[in-house]
Amino acid sequence: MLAAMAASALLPARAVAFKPKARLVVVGGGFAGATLARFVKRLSPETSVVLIEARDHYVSCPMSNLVIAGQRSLASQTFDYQGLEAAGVDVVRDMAIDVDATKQRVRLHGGAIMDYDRLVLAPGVMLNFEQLSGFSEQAAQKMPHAWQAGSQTILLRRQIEAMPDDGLVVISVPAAPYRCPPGPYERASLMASYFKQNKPRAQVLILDSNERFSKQALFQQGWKRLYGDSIRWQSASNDGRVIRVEPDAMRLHTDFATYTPDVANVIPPQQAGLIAHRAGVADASGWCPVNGLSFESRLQRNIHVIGDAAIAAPMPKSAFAANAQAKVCAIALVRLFRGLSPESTVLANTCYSFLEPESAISISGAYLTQDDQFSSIAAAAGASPLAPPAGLQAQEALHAADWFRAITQETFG
Amino acid sequence: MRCRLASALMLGLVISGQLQAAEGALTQSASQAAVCSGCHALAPGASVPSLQGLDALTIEEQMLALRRADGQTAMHRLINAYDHAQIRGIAKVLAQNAFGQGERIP
Repeated sequence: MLAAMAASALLPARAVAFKPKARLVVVGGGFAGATLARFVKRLSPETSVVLIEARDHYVSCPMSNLVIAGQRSLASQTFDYQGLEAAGVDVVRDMAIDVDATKQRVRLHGGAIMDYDRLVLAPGVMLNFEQLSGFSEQAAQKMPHAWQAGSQTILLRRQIEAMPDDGLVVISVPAAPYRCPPGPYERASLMASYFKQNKPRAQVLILDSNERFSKQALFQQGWKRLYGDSIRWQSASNDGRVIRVEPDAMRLHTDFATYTPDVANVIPPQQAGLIAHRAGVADASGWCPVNGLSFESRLQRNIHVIGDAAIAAPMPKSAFAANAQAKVCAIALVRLFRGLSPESTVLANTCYSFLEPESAISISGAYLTQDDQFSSIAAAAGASPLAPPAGLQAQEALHAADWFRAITQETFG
Repeated sequence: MRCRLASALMLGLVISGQLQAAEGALTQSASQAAVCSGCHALAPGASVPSLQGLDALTIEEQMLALRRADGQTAMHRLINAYDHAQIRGIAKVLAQNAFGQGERIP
């Protein structure tokens, strides 16, 4: 008996598989999906992790407003998936086109069917071109959105370079929620910074479908100080909501006015990526309600949604939030695979925005995750001071650059 | 029969022992600490403090000092989300880098 015990005690645990290894399928290789795939593999090397991503490269939206301002190259925004492959993630270059939540299967564009024990959808946003009258993917070749980075970013950069020295740029902002709440206002800041150096008479007009915006007081104070009156903002109630566009004539219509700018940056309304709708995890809002502890869909079992597509309000739709949610979801998934319940935790977010290439401001929040909600921790919420001590905004610009370096290394390797 | 039962029990102990070792990476402290690497995984020399080579007590003391300091960076705000016990747990995980494989970014 003792001999038997000793012998079995020496058996390595791996030799005694009680159940087949868990199969995790992740759809979407952005800040959420790529981080999640890496972390699950790191926490649980025995789990089979498949990442489905159609693109060879990921082009990051964070920092891309600096590309539009001519301060960064698109190459510095571009990441491949070799780091994930090296980490043991099976990267499948295809597009997930359908999910059978009952049979727990994903169907790929190329015809393959993948079975999963748990599915993580991290599809990011889908641009709802048709929600803005006159706008379309084709129209975005004339009125770029540049809200998915890549050729659109370069197009907008070229347009502001080519426009007349006293030209007008209109940025049309959709109704919230949309990806990167401070993004349009950072973009206005960095365009104005470029104009200040190169076209001092050029103007930026923000036509907004919202009444207020992230870091509003900080932005508006910064605009006044750095750019005088060259950035103007019109709220929705001040006839700021763009309701129709005519790309060929370069016209944008609000309820009471028509604008004919030299450059129109039209950011369309957004909702969760298409696969989330196919999988039945998006609700009538177009976004995906999730459990706060596990990010499991409230609408379909064994499907988790993280990143921009998920409803995690009051967390914003940011790369920082997507990366943080992915790590917490990875821990929850490995716990579930081992028969343990997911636990409450504290998530955090910080969004840096550049006022000019060497000055930035930030807003941050921490969030208690609970079964039924995410709640902001009041003591940790806040933004940069309106009267910053000397050097703080320069320091925050360095923090922003280091954040980007750290998060992209962590996400893509 | 008893023999088999005993060996099965022993096997269970061995396996649960191994799982528990790995479960250090699956605790509440580990999930709270997981957020940190979004900024702090860089090597020393960056504008964001590096956590490389720091022991748990040092990290805990630095986090507590940050809570008392009146600086105005994002971290001076975020630190207020955590009580002392949470800070101690996070510091321990960060010192062990228990959620990762000791990967460091050059």
